[in-house]
Amino acid sequence: MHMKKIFLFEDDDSERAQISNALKKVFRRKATIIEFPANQSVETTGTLESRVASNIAQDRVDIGMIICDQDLSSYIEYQGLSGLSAEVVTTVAREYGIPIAIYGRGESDLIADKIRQKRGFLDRRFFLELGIRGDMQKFAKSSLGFFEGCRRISDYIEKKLFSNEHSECVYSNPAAILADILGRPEIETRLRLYSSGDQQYLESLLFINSKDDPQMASKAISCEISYWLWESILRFPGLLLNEIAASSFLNIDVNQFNKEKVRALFKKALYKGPFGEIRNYWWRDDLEELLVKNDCEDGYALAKKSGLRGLRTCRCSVDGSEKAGYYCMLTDSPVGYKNSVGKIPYFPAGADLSRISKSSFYKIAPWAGIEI
Amino acid sequence: MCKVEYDLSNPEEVIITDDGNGMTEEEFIRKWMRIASDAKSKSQYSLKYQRTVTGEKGIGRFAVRFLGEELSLSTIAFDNKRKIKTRLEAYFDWKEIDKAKELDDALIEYDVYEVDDDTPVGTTLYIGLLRSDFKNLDEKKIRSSILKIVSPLEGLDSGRFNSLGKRTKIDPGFSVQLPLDDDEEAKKEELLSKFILENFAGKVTINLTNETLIIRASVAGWKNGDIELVRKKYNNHIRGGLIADIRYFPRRAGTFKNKGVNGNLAWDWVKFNCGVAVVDHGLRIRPFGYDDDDWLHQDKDSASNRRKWRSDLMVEEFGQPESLASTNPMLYLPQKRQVVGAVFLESSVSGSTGLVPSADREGYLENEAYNELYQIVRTGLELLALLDKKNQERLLAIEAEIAAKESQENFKAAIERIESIQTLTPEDKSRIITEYNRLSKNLEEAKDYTRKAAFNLEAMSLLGVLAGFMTHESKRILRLIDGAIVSIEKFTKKGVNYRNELSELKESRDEFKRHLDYVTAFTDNLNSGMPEVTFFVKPQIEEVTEKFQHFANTRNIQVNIVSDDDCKSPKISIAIYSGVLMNLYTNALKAIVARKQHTEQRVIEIRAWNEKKWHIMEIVDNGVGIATEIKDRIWDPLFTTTSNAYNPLGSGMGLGLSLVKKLVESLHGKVQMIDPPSGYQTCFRVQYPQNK
Repeated sequence: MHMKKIFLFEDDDSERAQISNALKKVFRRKATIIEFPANQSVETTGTLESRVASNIAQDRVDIGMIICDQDLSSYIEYQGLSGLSAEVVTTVAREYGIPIAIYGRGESDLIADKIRQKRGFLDRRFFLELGIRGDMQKFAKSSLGFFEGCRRISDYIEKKLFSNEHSECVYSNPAAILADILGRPEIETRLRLYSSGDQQYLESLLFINSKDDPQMASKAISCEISYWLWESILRFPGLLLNEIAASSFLNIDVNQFNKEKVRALFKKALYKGPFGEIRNYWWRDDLEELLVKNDCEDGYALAKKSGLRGLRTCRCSVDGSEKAGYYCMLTDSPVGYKNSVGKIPYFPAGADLSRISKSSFYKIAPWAGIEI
Repeated sequence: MCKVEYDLSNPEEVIITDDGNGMTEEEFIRKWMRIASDAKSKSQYSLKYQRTVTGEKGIGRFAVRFLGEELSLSTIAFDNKRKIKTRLEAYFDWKEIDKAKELDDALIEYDVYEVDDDTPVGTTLYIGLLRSDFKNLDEKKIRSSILKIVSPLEGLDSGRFNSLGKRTKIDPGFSVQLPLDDDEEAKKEELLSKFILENFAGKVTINLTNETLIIRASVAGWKNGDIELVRKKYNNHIRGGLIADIRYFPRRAGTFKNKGVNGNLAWDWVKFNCGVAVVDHGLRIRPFGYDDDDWLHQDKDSASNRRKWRSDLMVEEFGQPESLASTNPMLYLPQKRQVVGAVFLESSVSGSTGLVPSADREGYLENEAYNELYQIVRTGLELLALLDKKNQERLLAIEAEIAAKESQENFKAAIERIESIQTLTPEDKSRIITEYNRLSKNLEEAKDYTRKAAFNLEAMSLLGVLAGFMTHESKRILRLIDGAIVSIEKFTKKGVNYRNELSELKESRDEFKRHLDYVTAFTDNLNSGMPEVTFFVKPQIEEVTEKFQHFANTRNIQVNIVSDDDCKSPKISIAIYSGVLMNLYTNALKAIVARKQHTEQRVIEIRAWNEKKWHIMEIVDNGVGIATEIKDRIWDPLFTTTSNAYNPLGSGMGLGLSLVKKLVESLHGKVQMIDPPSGYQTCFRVQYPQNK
């Protein structure tokens, strides 16, 4: 198999070199890093989208991912690229079914930005944190995580599509495909709950015409399913739980849940699917199964039963006298049922452990246009 | 007097009674029963009051056959020849009469009786077997039509036409008594009519004799009452001349205010009686002044915005007006519904000169006399337009003078107060005082200032663009601060003691982030079209106060929020609600800081609650207060009482309150400074309607 290519869009020369080197170290023989523009002569006529497209045209079938700075305003020095933005690159990436990851110096912790991001309306791209002081190692590893996650999904879909086996299923039932990719056909129905609601994920699948260009269709579908998995299923705790949601669900203090000996108890439930290298996730079903099997009410009881001492239960971040159990999407912390609001319009229907603490919700609701 | 009786619940019969001279048998046969008799040419005056006899062809009495199939006549008169009083009763069966080939062949039976000497004279007509058209007539229409025939409007001056014809005895004139009329109602009507006619905005009286035309006029508010404006020789063909009295009632606010009458009632009366009537021989003539008539071209000219006088007399006396709309009085010509008036005259009964009634009893023949009638009355109307326009200009000038004086005093008081404000830098003081000094000298400039200030406010909205850019840049700065914090933390770990600096930096970073958060959310809300939603208000008030928590805490300012947890806002954009609150809250903080000596606890209280029609928010503080002299000025754009240099919160651009006012009012809400509760200095109240 020939090497895939990663296109890097960075308008700052020194940053470009740094990032490129960091990526090269991590990707090694998994992909070739190409700095955009691939050759210095960029077309000076036509739309910016067409100029970018023609520059990467030669390689586009082999492009595994685009990694792009969110601020490209310094590209002005390249003739023909003045005005280029991450939005333009995203449009090209979507058109050619290329996964795209945008990076910035630290994800904004502004509430308004969080609302925007968490709503996830048609955002359909990955976000990479470059870090305040440019933690290149972490950045490059996350990039690799996205690349590999997408590749696992696209390899599967390509295989399905071109084997003529269940090929129609690819278009008609993405939940079944993803359940299959994740090796859990039984979760298909619950996955479907993540495609309903205000988020409008998978909507674009309706417009993909597989007959015209099956290869492009395969790439586009892969992209959509990748974003769906990352931005919706993994982001909103319900089926899969991140470390905070898992500790809240298991009723084990967040810091103590990070300890190796505690995690070891729940190792069997650890998610190993696409993007699992970027952040740890646990299958909620598996965690429940573990508790049932051990006849324990919660993870805390299980840990105690297993002989772990000095553990604390997980308390609600709003009111410490209350038990947690849920995950606040806004503050990224455990929250109790009483002090939080669920079934937020822009949450996927399947994300039943995702909530927002009441005080935060009532503050942000009108700003997010949500009627109480 | 003429009395008309009919029962509208059972309209089978109409009875018309008069207390005139009645008819003897001879008169009945010779005058009443003969069409186009020469009786009128023989005697032009009635017997008792010597009234001029009207009518030309003598066919009017037979028109009653169109009302009912039967007519009975009963008339009592003193028969001079027989020296007795007689009662003649005749019966007309129109169906039978119609069967006769010639009118002479028609048989009309009548009887004559002798009656007692004290039996009152007069004639009664009984119209029976009413035709269906007549039965279905609207009661009000019948009443008003009858009243309009005889109504010369009590309060109008008919001058010498008051006692008609040859004045051998005092003539009581005509009156009509209709069913359901009672004395009290009639008196009320008379009083109302008198009252309204006396409260005119303009009045013109015209007196035309054989050779002289005199026009007098009066305008409400004129000290000298009515003034003679025209007296000239005016050769004319209107025999006996005329008297006209026209009152002008433009529909202006306050016309009947505080004058002891219900305004709506008064306007209804004007509407019913509007138009310039022509009263000929004491009876009103169609079509002059009736609803469907525009004989003086008032409505026509109003519709076409005519700018030139129609009356030659006006041109002769006052010249054609300027065409400029703002000064052209013709554009203010009283419309038909705005005038109540009558022209009293006596048309000719013979000959072709003078005013000659047209054959169908609708108006007059268009001859020289008629044209003179038109010209003269039209002159009166145009004169009213001219005088009213001048009067309005005079009133405006007085009003402007008062306003200018008030404004001068207002600015002067504001200037004095501004001079004493400690929280303004000399530069800001000088700027505001110079501005107010200039404005106090010229009211027009002051008005212009308000217009320009409003424009400035619009222009300032361009700051939104800057805010968007600054938000983006601020995020970059925030990241740099975060980077600096990481670096300092590293140094601290390595043993260099930067703990205090780090703590301060982190605190400042969080505060900066809170403001940035707010601005970002604000611009986002604007970008998404400011969706209007309902929300719990307490968390939003807390959100605003938390942003200045550090400021309030370090200055020992207690902030109380008084609102129920479940108090909801009406549907409103959060950006506006929060922005208004933020503005008023920071003003309160500034006012508290500006107060130098505080013996009691510094307090700001924010209250919010719902009433049936309003959502109310109040911001009260015990700060420096706002002096009475500048209360009117606080809504001025660019006005401020705190200079940037002297206040930790800055003064902004002095746009806050005017912007708040503009925004709240655009939502049909209100914002006002009201009397503060005990213990406080200032209270701003904002009211948002529950339903827009």
